[in-house]
Amino acid sequence: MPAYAHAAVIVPATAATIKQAIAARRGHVVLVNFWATWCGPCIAEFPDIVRVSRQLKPQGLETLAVTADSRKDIATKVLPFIVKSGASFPVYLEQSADPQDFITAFDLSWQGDLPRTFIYDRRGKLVRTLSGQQTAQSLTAAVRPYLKP
Amino acid sequence: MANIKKIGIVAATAAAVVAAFTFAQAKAKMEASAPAVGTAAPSYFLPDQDGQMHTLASDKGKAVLLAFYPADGTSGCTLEAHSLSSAYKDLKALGVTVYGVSVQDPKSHKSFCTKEGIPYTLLADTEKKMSAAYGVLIPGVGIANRVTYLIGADGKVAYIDTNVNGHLLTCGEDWAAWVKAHPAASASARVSLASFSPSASGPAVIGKSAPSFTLPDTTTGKPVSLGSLGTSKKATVLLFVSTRCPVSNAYNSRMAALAKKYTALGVAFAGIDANTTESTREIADFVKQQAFLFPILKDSDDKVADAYAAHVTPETYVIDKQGVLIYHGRIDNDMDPANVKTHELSTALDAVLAGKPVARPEAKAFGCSIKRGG
Repeated sequence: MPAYAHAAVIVPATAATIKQAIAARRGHVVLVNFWATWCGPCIAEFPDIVRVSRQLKPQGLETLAVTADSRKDIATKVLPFIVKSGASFPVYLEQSADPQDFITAFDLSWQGDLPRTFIYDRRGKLVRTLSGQQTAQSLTAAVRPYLKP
Repeated sequence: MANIKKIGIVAATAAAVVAAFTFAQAKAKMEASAPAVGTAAPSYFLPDQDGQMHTLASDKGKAVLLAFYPADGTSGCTLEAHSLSSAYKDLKALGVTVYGVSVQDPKSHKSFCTKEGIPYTLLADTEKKMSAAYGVLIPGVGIANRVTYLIGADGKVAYIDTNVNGHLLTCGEDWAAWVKAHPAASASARVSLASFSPSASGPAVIGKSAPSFTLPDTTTGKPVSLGSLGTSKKATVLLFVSTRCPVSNAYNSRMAALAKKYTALGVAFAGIDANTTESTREIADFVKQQAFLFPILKDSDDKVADAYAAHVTPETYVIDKQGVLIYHGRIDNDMDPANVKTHELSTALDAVLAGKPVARPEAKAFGCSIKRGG
C-alpha cells in the first residue's frame, strides 16, 4: 500500500470534528496545520510539515492538516497536491456553517490568516501557536519540548 | 390681576417675535456672509489671550488656519485643542499661523491656554464680528460653530472644514496633512512629497475612535488621511487588499461593485496595501486594471496594518462619521461567490446609513496573511 493512501481521503469537518480528533490523540503531542492550496506560504511550508511529521512520529507526534479550500477545488487541486506531498496524516476540509465559528474555536485572536499551526501537548492542552510560514527547524523546535525525552 | 396677566402674555409674545426675527436675520446673514473657497478671506482685528492685536493684514503672505470653536474649556473644544496642539509644530513648520477663535474674552482664553498647554494663539471675538463675517455664528445662541478655515498665503480661502466634529481627535494632524498635500496654499511651505512621512495611531477597537493615519495614494503619491477621506461622508470603509492574494483577488469585482453602490450613498472607500512584497507601481497598475473608484494607499512600514491589527487580505473596517470603528472583518462569508450566504460588510453599511447599530460588528474568514516587513 503506498504511503499516501491514508491521506487520499479528505474528511469534511467542523471545529468540533477537529477538536474530537485532537482529543482522540491524548497521550500524543498533536500538530494541527491550517492551510489552503491558494495560500502560497502554505504550499511552500507543507513539505516541511510532512518531513517533521515523519521524523517525530516515533517520538509521539501526531499530525493533522485542515484545508480552507473550497469544496469544488478538492478533486482538481487539493487531492493531487496531498498525493504529491507524500503526506500520510489525516487531512480535513473546513466545512463549518460560518468560517468565524471555526476560526475562533481555535484561537479568539486569530483573524483567519494562513498558514497557522497549533501544537497541543500530551494532555490535549494548546501550548504553541505558529503564525506564517514555518521551516522544519522552527516546527521541530516548537514541538520538541513537549515530546517524550 | 387680569391686567397684569395680560401684560405678561404680551411681553412674552413680543420677546418671542424678537427672538424669531433675530434668528431669521442671523441665519440669512450667516448664509450670505460665509466666504467660499477661492474668495478673499474677511479681515479681522482682534486681541489674543495676552491682549496683543492680530490682523489679516499683519499675517499677509502667510497661510493662516482659523479654528472657530464654541467655548473655552468645554469637552469638544478641549479635544480639538489637544489635537491642534499636537499638530502645531508641523503646521508651524509648514509656515501656517494657527489661531483658535471663539467669542470668549482674553482672560478666559488665557486660562484655557494655561490649563491645556495650548501653544497657539487664541483670538477673542467678543463682539462676534469675525465669527459673523466667516458665517460661523450660531443664530440665536451667539457663539461660534466648530468650523475651520485655511487661508492661503494669497489671502484667499483655500479650504473649509465644516465637519470638525467628525474628526475631533485627529483634526490637527488632518489639517497639517491637507497643507502638505496642497503646498501652493502656503507660500513658505517648503514641503515636497518626498519629505512626507506615513503615520498611524492605534489600536483599533470596536466602539472606539478608529486610529488616525496618513498614507500615500499609490496613484497620485499624495498623502491621504483618515480625516480627509471621511470629511462630509456618512461612513468610511477601509479595505486591506493585495494585488497577488487569490482570496483578495476573488473579491476584486465585489469590492468594485460595493464601492460603486455605497459611494453614491455618501460612503468613502480606500484600499490599503500593507504587503512589503507589492510595490507602489504594482499597486497603481492594479488600481487602473481593476478600474477601482477608490484609491489604494501604500502602508510601507505596516504602521496602519499594525494599528488596525489587520492580518489578512481582504480584511475590512467601517468607521462612522464620528470616527468610531463600527465593523471589522470580512466582506462576506465565502471567497467563492456561489457559496455566499451572508454579506457582513454591506449589512454593516446599510445599518450605519439607516442610523442603526451594527448587529454583527466582527466577522472573520480565512485569507492570505499580510506580508509584513522585517
